[in-house]
Amino acid sequence: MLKNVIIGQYVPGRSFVHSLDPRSKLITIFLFMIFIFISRDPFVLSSAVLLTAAAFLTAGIPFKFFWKGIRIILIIVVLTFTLHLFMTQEGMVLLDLGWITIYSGGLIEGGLIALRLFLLIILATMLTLTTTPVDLTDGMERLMKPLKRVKVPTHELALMMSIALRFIPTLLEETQKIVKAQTARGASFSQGSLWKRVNALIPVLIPLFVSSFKRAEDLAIAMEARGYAGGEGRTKFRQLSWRTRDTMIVSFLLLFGVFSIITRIS
Amino acid sequence: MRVEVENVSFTYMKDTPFETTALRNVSLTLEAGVYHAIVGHTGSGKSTLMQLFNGLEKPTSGKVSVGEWEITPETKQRDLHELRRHAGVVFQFPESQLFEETILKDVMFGPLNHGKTKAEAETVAREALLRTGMPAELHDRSPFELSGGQMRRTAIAGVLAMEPQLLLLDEPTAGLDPEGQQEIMQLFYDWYREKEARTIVLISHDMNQVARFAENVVIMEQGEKQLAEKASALFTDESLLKKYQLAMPEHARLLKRLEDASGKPLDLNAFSDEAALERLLRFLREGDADA
Repeated sequence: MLKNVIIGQYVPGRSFVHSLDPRSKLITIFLFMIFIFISRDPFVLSSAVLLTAAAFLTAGIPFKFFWKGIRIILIIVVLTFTLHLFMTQEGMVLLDLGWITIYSGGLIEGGLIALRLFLLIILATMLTLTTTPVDLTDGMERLMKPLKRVKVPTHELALMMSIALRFIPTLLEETQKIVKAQTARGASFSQGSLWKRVNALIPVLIPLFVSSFKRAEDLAIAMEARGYAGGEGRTKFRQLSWRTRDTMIVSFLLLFGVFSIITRIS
Repeated sequence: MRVEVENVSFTYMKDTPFETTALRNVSLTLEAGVYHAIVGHTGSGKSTLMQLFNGLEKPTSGKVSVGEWEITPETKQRDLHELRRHAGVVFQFPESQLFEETILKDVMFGPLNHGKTKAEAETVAREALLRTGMPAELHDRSPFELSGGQMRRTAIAGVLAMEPQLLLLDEPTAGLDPEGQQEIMQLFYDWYREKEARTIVLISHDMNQVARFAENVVIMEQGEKQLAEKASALFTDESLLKKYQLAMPEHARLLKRLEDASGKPLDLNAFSDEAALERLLRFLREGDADA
């Protein structure tokens, strides 16, 4: 199961999506998210699906790999769908079993929410798959820059995020190693009652915590040894470059947004 | 336990952009009751190969037989539980597996998982700890209060307490000081000598270690088996060592120099201090006789 986690992984490539500036990717996804949550118009939503599909296809991420990775997250989508299906009491009655009633409104609401979440998950996953963690945090830091005036520690926030992203694969690797070591000592993670399985995690979690703290300490020492003293006066080796294609994609998204707002109001 | 590997290939993260082939069509036999070593450069697939021997990884294709167990791509994890009692692994930096409140409890983890009662587990755990040089007064301490070397010993005791027949060692002395390295290697060797059927497979970059302890050496390179040879034959053959970019062990190298300098043929087959000393003394005595 652990082998399939793709959060925080980066798949190198030269596609259009890869080549976009991280800032424009972040803005695009943010706008897209707002618009699909505002809109209920079938035309807007289906074009959103098409846009997502187009982005996915151009990014050139192998489908099988992607699917395996998001399969687990899709449980949330299914869960929300079912919740909405049973909780909404609008529209006509579709099914009446006495103790449970399904309304047409529930089906529509559930489907709508599921679709929105689904698109969101795909895009968010694609963001980390096509953007290096360094670019991603650089982009975030730049976008948060205005907040610095109101004393928000933007550099520190960005650094925290980049460290977190950077260590996801390391942590997964470490977990796998410890799981193997404990399996070799006869631990079993897929047998027995739920309680037993939860207990089986203790021999994995404790070593993981211990090594994470140790690693954090080592990292702090290494950073200080190299003279790190916060974001003040720090220059950047990698410069972000905003190009025409970034302007294009953001204006396209704004247009899409205006359109979805118009359909919502009228 | 005898290990037989038949046409085994192994691919990590199959069907992803990160797919890497670690083993290519490897076939080899490791006889029971022998001290084996697997050597090769980083990334040659030796660790992966070793993890197949107790079913931590299953081959992508081919078959691995360990004792009476067979591991194929279709084998279920739960069928391998019993095998793991008989094939213990000491990983690189095994101290990262410690988790219990006390050292004793941590060593008891393996035996308890394999169906021993608390009392039985405590007996084998205490024995294993004493064997690895952890005195009784330390047994109730937390493993996280120990020094690095003591943590290593505790982790090794945790593997030995399962009373395996086959011991898989993945660079067990990495990061220890020279004295600690020697003690740990001696400890494994004493364990191995105790019973006829015990088998060891050692992965190491240290050719002195390999030559000193192993009887049979397998050379891996880029996921393929290059050679399986008796240690005494491999480590005295300069051209063979050169071909696989392996260093000649220190003792043999010294004798080789002496041989080259004196022009007299010497038996290079000496990989311990004692054996090398014995050869040197014999050389000196023969020199005296000539004079």
